[in-house]
Amino acid sequence: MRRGDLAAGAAYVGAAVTVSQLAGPFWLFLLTSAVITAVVAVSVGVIYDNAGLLSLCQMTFAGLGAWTVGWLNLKTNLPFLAMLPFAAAVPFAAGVAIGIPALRLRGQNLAVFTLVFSAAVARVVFADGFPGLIEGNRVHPPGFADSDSGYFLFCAVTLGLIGIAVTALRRTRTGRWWFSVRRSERATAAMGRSVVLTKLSAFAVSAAIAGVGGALLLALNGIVSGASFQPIESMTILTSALMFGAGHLEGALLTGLFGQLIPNFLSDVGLPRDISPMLFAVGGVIALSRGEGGLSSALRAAGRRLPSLRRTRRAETVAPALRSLPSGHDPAAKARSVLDIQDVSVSYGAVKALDGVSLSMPEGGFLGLIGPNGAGKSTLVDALSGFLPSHEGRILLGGEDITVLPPRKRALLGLRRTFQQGHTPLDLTVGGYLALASAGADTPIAEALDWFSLPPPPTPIAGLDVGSRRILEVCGALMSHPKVALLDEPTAGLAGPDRDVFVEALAAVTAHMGVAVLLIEHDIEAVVSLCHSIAVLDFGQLIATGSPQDVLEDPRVVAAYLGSST
Amino acid sequence: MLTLVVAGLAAGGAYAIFGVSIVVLHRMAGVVNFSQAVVGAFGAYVAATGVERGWGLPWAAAAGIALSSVLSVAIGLLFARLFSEAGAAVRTAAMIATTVGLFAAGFRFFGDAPRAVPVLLPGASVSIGGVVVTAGTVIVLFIAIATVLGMGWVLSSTRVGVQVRAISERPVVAELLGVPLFARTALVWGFTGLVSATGMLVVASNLPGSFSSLGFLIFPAMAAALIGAFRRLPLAFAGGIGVGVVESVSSYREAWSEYRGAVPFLIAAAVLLWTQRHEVWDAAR
Repeated sequence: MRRGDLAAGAAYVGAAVTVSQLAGPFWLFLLTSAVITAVVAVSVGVIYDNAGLLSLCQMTFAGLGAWTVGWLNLKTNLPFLAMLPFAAAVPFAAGVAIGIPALRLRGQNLAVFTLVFSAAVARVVFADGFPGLIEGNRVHPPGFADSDSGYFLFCAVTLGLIGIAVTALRRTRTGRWWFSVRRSERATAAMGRSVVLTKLSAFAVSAAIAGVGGALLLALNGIVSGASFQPIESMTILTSALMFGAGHLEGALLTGLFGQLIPNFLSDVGLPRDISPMLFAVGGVIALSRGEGGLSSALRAAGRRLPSLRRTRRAETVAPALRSLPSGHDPAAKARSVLDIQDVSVSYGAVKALDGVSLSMPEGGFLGLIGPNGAGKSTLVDALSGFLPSHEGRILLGGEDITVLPPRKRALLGLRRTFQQGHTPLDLTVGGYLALASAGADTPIAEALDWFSLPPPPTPIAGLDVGSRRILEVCGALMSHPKVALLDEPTAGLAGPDRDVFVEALAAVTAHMGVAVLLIEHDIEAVVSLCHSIAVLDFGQLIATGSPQDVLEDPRVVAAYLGSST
Repeated sequence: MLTLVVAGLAAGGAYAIFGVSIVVLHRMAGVVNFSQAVVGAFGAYVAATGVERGWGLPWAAAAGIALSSVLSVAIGLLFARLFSEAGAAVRTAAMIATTVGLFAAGFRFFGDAPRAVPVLLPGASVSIGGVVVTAGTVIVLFIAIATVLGMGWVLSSTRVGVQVRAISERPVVAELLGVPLFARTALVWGFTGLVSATGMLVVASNLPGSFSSLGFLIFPAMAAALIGAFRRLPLAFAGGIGVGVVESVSSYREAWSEYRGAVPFLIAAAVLLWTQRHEVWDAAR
């Protein structure tokens, strides 16, 4: 529990108690509605702001929660509190059910899919009338909260508990993976995490939260119709969540408060109350045009002094601790091969991106892979890490055939990679990211940060320059103690002394850990100083392998880079 | 049964018009336009209001169509200005926000009680094989087919088409090459607004149309656009007709008609699952 959390929690409790004591019935109804809207907004925060999934069916999940409670109320004698878990469980299951077909849908496709799903449920399930609606079978709040102020407090406490649970979840591995999958599914899988599980958990958790919101709404009104759970309502709450930034709890609370207070304010000043969605639309569009995250993110960024983007790392020399790191090399191990690439070919139509590439890497070896642009280097890394739909040939990791394994399994077996573009999730801190990336290996985080001259664990990744983010990705991959690390242009974006410091640190750390490294790099100087041997690709074919000296003087390599003189 | 199929053609033709417009905009502006139907609904309701106030039908219809076109151009310019360099997910989210705003504006101006949208060609119909086909159905199908053929030709074979596609994919590069960004954006959005309003005017007179129910024609239209994978005009056309006919035929039996509202979802789900089955990973390498 952090100090800011405690202060915010105390302020929230104080405000809720004050309101419950001072507000009249009208304001209590309004603010109870606001709290309930905030519950659904939290669910939008989980699915959209955290996991990056553009879902347009959150009010449908809320409706399923309300429908479940209405049905139970009609058929059973369960008290409200006993029905509430079902209001979470049924949407939870629905979230998984809709999440499975949506696994391969992203962006606009996912938005359309969830929108037509929500339209279908609204017409087929909700339009038939909610259970208890025709019979006039009202749902009552729990007995101890069966007054205006009592039910307001009950809803406020429920929102508070959901807020605490979600905040805690965002700091667990499950929650951090949501940020990771939002940034890049590939990077998530490459760290050994199931993308399927990550997306489904976001769908299920957000649906369950929305379902509770629906049940609370039902008990506030006694009976509800499907009108509250139409697709346009899902779109509207997403719009105001975009504006206020529901990814943070205060943003979700603002979404709920303004969602109810603005219409009320408008009618107080003599304006039509139904123009409030227009205001949210304008606010949402403006917020999006200024970057994602909405008002709450903007406020947080303003309140927190980010380190300068230009220069976060100013280490002139490598950390002294690095110089005294014992080497993990077992000289006898050199003979054992840890990664065998046997005759790997990849074709895109008539083009051969890789043509019968065979390579073998010894344990603890440091192999440089170079070649002109388009030679197939990154394709080879994709093939090795499992991101190509198909390729010919076999790949053995420590003698085990991993050719058909998905990226996640390869990562778990000890084959890790980094990405040319850099895929560290911007919403996490340095420490949070390393905790994910290291997969529970026992290297102390502080020590590893020191090795690579990276800033301390609480630093947000968004505050790092691009070069440091890339170093962080390398650091994360190495901290998991892999058998093999595939590093795709780790020094891109680093210049001068930063690069020299990193190269020296990389050499010392990999030697200390005994990790075999396949380094793809355009920086020949770095390759020569780091690598025991070099392989050269040109037009998908391996044209030379051997010691750095021999390879760089090979006439075929010179011709590949500079063109032949004939 | 045949009557139902023909009845489905009218709605299907409208779905096709919106679906094809969505595909055209997606190819030309890189945006999935969730507001395609609601923009058309504005036109239909302005026309209805005009007729109520005693304007002549042609004038009212023209005013409605013009308003939709202007509205569409305004949205297009807003997006060109704010989101031309944004990713697809951000544009989609922004479009959803815009659509919410347009629905709210529509409720404000027109209320949400059903109104009679004027029938453009009252009484006109043709009989084909003993089944009566209204003039409205013929017009809708004509507009849809003309749009598919015309826009297909513009996109693939004209200089304007190439320029607009360049804008949608690389706005800055296109501008550096001297493509008139403003004029081309206005042209594309204005055209799809015009087509949508015309289609909406023709079909709205047949529908129990409150403003929102006209705006919600976006669901079957999205299903149609999905069938065209947001790229292929003829497939989007076929998809629109298909959804309309399946919906109509599903009221053939009492037991089926209950699930009529799920038709766009089931079709969209099936299409998406099939077309995206190889999309195991997100785009960036």
